[in-house]
Amino acid sequence: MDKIVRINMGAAGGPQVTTEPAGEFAGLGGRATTSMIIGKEVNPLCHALGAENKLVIAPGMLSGTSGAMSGRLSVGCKSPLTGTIKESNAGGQAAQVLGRIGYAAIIIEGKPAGDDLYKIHVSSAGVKVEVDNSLKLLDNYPLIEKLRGQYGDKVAYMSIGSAGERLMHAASIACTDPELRPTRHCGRGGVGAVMGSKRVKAIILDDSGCKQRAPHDPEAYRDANRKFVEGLRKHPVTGEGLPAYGTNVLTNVLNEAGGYPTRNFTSGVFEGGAKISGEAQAELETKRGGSATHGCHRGCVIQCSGIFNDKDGNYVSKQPEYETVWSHGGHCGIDDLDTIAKLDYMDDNIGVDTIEMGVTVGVAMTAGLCEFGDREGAIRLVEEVAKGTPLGRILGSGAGTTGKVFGVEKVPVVKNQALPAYDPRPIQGIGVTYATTPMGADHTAGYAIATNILKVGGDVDPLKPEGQVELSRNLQIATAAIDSTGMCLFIAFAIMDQPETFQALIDMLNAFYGTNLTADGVVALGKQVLSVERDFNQRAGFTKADDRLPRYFYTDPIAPHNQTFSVTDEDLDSVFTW
Amino acid sequence: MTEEQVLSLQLDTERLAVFFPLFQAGVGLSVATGCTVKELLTQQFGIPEAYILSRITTIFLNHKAVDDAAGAVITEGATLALSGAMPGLVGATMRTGGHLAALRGAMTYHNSAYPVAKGRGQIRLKLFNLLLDELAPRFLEHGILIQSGELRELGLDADVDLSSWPDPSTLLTLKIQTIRKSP
Repeated sequence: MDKIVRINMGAAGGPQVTTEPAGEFAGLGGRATTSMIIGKEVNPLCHALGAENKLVIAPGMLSGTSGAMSGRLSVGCKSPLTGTIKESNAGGQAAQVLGRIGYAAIIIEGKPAGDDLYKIHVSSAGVKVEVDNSLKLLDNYPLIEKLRGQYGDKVAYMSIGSAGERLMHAASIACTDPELRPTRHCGRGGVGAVMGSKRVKAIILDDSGCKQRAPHDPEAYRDANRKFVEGLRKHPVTGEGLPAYGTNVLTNVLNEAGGYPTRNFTSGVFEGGAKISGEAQAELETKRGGSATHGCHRGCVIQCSGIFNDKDGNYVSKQPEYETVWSHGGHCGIDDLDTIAKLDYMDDNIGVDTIEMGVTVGVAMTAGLCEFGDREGAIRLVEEVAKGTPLGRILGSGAGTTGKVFGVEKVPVVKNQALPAYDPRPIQGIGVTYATTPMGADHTAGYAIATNILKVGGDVDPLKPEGQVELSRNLQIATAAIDSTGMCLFIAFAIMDQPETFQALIDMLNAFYGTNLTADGVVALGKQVLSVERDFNQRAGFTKADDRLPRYFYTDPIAPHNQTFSVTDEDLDSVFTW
Repeated sequence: MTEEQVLSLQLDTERLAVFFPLFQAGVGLSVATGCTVKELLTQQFGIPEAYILSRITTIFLNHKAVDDAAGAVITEGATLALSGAMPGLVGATMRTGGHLAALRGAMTYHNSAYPVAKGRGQIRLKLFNLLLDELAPRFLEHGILIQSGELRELGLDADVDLSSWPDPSTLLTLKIQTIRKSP
């Protein structure tokens, strides 16, 4: 991964491909690569769908190696949804294949004149950009089927559905899983619309003839990877809970805690929670001949995904994640897993972020477009997005736009991005991250990373409320660093609780690159990434006034704890002081 | 006062999953109250302390996250929820005595400053995820409070003659002895 390929879609005479050394971006990966390129090369005041914006695709630092869990792919740009810098990442096969081909990043820039649609083929032989208007307005599933007919099954695909082509702000970029289904999405922030604005429909990543990336010290790398895998397998979250129930194991617990946002954040408890819980979902999947344990990419040892079949045993969708089950479920008052799985498939097929789309449907329900709990009504609304009707284009622009168009007062967005599945009033600490992350409301921006081991910011007293701000800061720093490695965030639990597993991760990085990275170096990388992102946003016109939750979270208490969000503005403004 | 009606059944272990949705929603238990969560689990249900420490990593008492099972007190009408290790930031936040407890805000359970009288009473118990398989048999053996109508919905008609309780709201103590199927 010592080179970067730059594709200028707006070059005179047609798209132009150039390859350059990775230079100052060598040795970086994932979010560090995308954010540093965007921070350096994109004018923050540009229109996100204009020629000045760039779409950067980067594998992680260990992608394409034999390292476990190293299959996250980052995509970065200026977001059309938030107007901020954006990094969105996904699993699937793309990162591993791109890493093996040897590119540290693909930069798609410029914008073609005219209406032609392009596909990009990336292999060790080079990069080809071709017009293929036969792909126009195909959604992801039929699109991938068509491409497989030409390129086969030994490649990975990235693609946009009709939502991306129509430049909807909720549009995602799909990455295929090991079964070549377009189920893994860089979902947040409308990155699919940026790909659509470049008129790129699909990227075919072909690593035929390529070998795994070779570590600097193969023996040390193998040993560290073995210890890392052992650590993941012995931890109860990564070794038992996630493989058995997936991320939706959270539904029952969030509901019990009164932190499960229900019917557009009007209650913290959903009476139908048990019906759509991870436990219920796993049982149903197994009973129907699907699977409750499945990896989204080869080399995954956690296997938190699954296959959801209908009652006749036919594939419906991959196992919907917790956030999807919430957004299309409890948030909309829907307690039926079949409906949720259908909506999950529709989102993946159209190519929209399941969080943004589900929250939008809930906002539309508040507006009266259909009733809370109306299963068919929710499906009809998403069908409008699929058809690209005027209503569908509004809904496909996200919760913020939908709320404005229909005059909804209480819309759960920060920086115009929909809040994920955790109410920030009872769980105040996550509200700090929602408000202040450079990405807009994002539950993964300050993940449960090993701040205790990293000692970033020192020890925090868990019983003091001011710890919420300090922990959020520390978690955001640590998450930015992990996002840069390209490792799946779910390694977080094992490295948080088991110092030896954290050390194994550091050892993997050092054995691969021949470096002497320490925990301090990890913290420094996280701070550097966040500083670049904050700087971009400031130059784009964002101020501390944007680092706030919507006002009603401060004024409207939510049952059962009857809490409002009470972290002060001064405390929020102190999150990024280091 | 109506006499307690007890129904005892023997079921194969593999059939216990039929009760799991009930445990997720919450089952009634008749217990000694005024004790701590730890005392309830160890003394009344015989759950080893080592198991509590290693497997029951998230505890809610009346919807609040418990950090100290030896200090949180069970009162009449309480709802106790037990979970194994959870993923996600919020899953880690809810952990008993977790490093991220500060993120919870007001959701943390605080021990009462006042003494609680000891007695007998009903509580509601919820089990989630990995603990369903591991703990449900123990609570079923002790006996759960269940309405005859709920039993009917579980499809246990073949195992028990429910005609003795035509009123679906009749409250029964159901005790299950689990047996392993012969190979």
